[in-house]
Amino acid sequence: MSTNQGSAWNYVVTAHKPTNVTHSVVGHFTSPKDINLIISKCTRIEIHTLSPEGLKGVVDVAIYGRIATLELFRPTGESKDLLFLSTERCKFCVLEYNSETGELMTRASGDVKDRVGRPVENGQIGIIDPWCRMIGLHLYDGLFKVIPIDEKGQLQEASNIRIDELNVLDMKFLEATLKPTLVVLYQDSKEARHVKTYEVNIKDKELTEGPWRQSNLDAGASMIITVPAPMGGAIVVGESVVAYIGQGQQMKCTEMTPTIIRAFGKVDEDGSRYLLGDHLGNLLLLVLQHDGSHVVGLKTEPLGCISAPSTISYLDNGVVYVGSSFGDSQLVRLHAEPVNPAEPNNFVEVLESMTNLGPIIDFVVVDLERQGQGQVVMCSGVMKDGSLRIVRNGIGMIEQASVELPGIKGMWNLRATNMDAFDKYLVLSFVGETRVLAINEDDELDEAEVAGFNQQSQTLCCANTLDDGLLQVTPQDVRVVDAGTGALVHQWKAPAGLQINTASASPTQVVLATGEGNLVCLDVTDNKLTEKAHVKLNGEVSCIDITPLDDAERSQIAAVGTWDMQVHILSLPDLSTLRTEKLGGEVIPRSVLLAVFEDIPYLLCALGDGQLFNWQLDSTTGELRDKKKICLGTKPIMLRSFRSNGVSHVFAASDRPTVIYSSNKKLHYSNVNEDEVNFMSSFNSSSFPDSLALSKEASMSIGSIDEIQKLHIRTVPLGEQPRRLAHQEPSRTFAVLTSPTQGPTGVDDMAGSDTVRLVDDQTFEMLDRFGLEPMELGVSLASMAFAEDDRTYYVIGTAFTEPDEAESKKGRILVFMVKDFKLQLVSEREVKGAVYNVNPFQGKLIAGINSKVQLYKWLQTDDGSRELQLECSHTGHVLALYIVTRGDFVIVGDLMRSMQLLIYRADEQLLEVRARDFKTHWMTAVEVLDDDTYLGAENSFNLFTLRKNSDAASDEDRNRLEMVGQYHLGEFVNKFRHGCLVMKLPDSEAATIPTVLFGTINGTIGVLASLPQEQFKFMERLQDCLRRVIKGVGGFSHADWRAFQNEHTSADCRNFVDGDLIEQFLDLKRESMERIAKDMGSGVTVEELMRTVEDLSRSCH
Amino acid sequence: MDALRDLPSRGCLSASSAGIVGKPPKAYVADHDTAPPEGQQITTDPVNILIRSITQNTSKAFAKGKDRARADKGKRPAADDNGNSSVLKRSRDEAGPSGAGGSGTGGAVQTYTAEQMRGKTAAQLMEILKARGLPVRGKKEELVQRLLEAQDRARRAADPA
Repeated sequence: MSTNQGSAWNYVVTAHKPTNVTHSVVGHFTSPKDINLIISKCTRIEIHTLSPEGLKGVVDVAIYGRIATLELFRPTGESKDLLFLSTERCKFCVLEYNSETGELMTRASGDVKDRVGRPVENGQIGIIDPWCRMIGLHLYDGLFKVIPIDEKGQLQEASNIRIDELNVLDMKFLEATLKPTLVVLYQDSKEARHVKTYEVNIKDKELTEGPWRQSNLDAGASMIITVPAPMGGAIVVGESVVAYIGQGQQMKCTEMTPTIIRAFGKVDEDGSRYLLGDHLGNLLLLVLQHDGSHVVGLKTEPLGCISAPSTISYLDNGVVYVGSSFGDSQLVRLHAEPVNPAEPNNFVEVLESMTNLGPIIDFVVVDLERQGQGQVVMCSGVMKDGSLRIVRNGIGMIEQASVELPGIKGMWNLRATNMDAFDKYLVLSFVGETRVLAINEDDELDEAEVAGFNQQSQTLCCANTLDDGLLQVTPQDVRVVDAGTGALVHQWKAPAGLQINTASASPTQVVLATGEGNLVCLDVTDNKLTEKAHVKLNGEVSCIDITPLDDAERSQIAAVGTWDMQVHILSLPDLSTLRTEKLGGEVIPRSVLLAVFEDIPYLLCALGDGQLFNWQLDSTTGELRDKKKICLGTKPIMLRSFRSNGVSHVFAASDRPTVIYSSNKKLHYSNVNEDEVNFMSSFNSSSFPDSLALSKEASMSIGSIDEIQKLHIRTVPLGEQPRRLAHQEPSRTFAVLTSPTQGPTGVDDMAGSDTVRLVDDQTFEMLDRFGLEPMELGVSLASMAFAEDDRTYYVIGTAFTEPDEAESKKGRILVFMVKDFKLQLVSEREVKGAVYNVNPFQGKLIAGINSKVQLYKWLQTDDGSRELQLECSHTGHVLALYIVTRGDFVIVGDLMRSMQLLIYRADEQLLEVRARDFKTHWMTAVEVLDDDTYLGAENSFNLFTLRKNSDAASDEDRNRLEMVGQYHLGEFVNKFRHGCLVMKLPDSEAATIPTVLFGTINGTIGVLASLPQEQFKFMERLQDCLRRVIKGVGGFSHADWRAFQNEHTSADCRNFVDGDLIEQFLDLKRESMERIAKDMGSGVTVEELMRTVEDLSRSCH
Repeated sequence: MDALRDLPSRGCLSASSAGIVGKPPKAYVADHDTAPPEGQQITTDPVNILIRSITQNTSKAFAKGKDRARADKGKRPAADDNGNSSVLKRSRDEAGPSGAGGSGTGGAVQTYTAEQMRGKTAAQLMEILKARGLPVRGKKEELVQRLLEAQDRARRAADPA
């Protein structure tokens, strides 16, 4: 049974937090003096403080709910603002920041869900009376919920009040009114839009007619902005008219170019100016002309372009925060003069963009470097903010200086004296030349000279000696110079006719190879070089290392790699062989290194083809054990050790530079987010502390590296919305389906048709594009090969849309070949419906077309051309939106009828139902976890797993897919893909944990890891213990949040564990950790827990 | 653009462009009690909105009656506020069995003299009785008597003096 249930236990963790900004507010939250910007990113809120230098992050808080509304308010008697937030599941809380402890205290919280009532369609509304007499919520059609606030700022029991308007578009409390007054923008049954006011009578729980109303506003009126006293009243923003309505005044209007305004932000406290942002990212200024108490008129002025906003907050000094769901969020500065004289109509300077991956519409996991680490390429953004994003895990480098210096053949760092803390010199070796850079008095890096060095020759090795000398090894000689004067102190010349090929040095020793396997050991005492030993190995020496293992000045052993594919461990100083290890294969070792990680000595040996061996080493006997092999690239690797934050690391310079470090006594490999690096040297100088010098093809750069690996995101803007993408290995290209940016009204038929773009997989430059027909949408895309045809094709499924058709009746399947980096249409087939997906299946094509699943063969016709021919089809779905296949099985994710398992009988050419889930789930993504377990995501933000029940006794049970796991993710998943973001080493435990990645509308990248049962049960227990210690902010319960819940059903979370909660264990205080360890029982220690959690976390993201 | 001059300033964000966004904020771990203080776990008034509006109307009328009844005693408001729900229940119970909610109790109830009543047909009288939730059986004279008694009761309740 255990194999049957292999993937039923899943650990879900976020690899990239949500970045979709839905709300932002500005106020005094963390202290009466601080100005805070609070941003909601759907399931998280971020609190920032404004300082003269910029935004400072305070905390990033996970909320156990999807945030529906967010407001700051200040009841009388409070010195700072309180934060009110409500979630989509109708829970709310009022939070206060405790400036002393930095804790978010819950001032009030509650569940305001009603058992009956139709949830509002236009989004929940949560508003607070400007004088803090009540909180108003509009959660259900026809009901207005009031939470009264008393004089002491205490919340009272909430009550529902009937509101006659069923289709409310927006609702606000008017400012400066004696009674709390509601202004409601609504649409009537004839689709006309009106605004009216109500006074809220708390005592009688009634709404009474308010001071004014206005009928028949702009047909697109969608937003109310209330104007502060003394003017009062409200602005109603429509699609082409902005109107001001106040008590006892004529309505004032201004026209603007038709558009859809999505967000506004107040600029002046008195309400004279507002910023408006539309769905295309145009920023407008709305000016209220007034005489201090009455509005005389209003006008709008276009300011420039920003990301399509979901929220706009004016911060200070002309700086505005633009939060976006569809593109990157931004900080922009407004200028009275055009920012760039070339663009006289742009007054907006973008100061900084904050990456937003959302909405992730599609993604693929590729391993472009073929090195066992996936990187994710995704379709992100909407309309003009559409882009491809390349996300990979790795260590980032923060470059501090860079110079053009081609042809570097080696680099070494030297200190001024042996005891110095910082490096002073950087020795660069070129063919026939050596250059020395040094930190000068002004703390700048400048070219220098060390008189005693031979600078007319290549350098093979450099080191500080114990007695304040500098050592240089050139092909001709070994030199020791005085570190103070730079004068040559002593010299050892290579025997006549021989050249030094390679060398390595410790502060007291030099070992060098003089060709034909000759190896010489020199002792460097008192800066005098004396020959200690000379041996001849069988093979030519290719690399040497004598790094002392115990931080001493003297090494006891040397590691030598030879041309006959061997590594020798020799003892020093006598150079007697302790051990010889055959590497096997036909590639020469190019670099060896002795290194100590977490007190364990290792020998690393890198070959010329990017392979790396490592052994644990016994430093006295030279014994090697635990041989491990990993491939880090395709070119020769140069190994060099360095220290970062007091921990030893090894840098493997190659076409895929990698940092090797150890944690929990295991070696870990992290990509460095740099292109090819040839050599690396640590360079810890006073002006560049803890830095590294990297030499590349044509340049040398100095910088520091990140402490931890994290996701690095590269953006390729497309300017239009990407919908699907696929990678094709043989042609090294991506194909991307894109939709043109719509016109200003959002439904511009003239905007052109969808296109297929062909993109290079390295440079991401567009190579070719193919336009679809008018009214034709690109819906699906895959790269696949067919049986009896060795070429690989891009297959594209399309749908034709007619404005008055509910469902598409016609589509096409197009087959393209990539030839000379151009798209060539090979075959085209018209089908009856929208081709929602195309998938390779046993050398054939399986597609979901409206309610059918159809299998097509790839046939060669008499004239040699090829075409798709229908083999069989299966009907009975509502819309067969998603298909994944495994072996003979086809899993179909339906629009609303959950998942169905089909089996293909090749001999009978038949697709038939094997089993199905009889529940209603509106699917958004499906994936196969293993032969019997299938994963689905549905549109109430839940995940669930289904299992095929092959062993069941009755047919009925066999025909049913049994629900084995359920979980509320709180995010809308658009896509699952098998893959991993971290490097999977063949011998590590991580490699055995299958992982699935998912991308969501919020821009979250998540990882779902299928754990073995035992480990899962342990994690589940840990989660229970953590729930007792880590509470939900605002008093929300974690168990409630993760409970599976949709319109019909609600069930506790089962067979899923929340990795985000588990990983918070590592951030806990020691005493909390100990409490948890105690709760866990069975003698588990904190260290064990930490190790388990760290290891799992590291193997996931 | 002149409209963009004199943007409000509060002394923050004076730095020019680079590095205006600092490091991302650290993740918050809520290892403290997050339950709201006592009495601040908010729930919704469980009374159905329809029932509330009905009872509110009846209680208003009831309170109006009470108000007049207790005018000279002069200590109404507190009792009314506290006793609100019990009053509501009672009045609803009263209204319940007769089936005709608050229709007759709402505004000014017209009173009739015996002559006026006798001038009406039996059907008209039955309608009036029905509207006040009184039994409609019996001869015409019985109906008139019943209505007169009811009016008397109402008058006495309104003004015991």
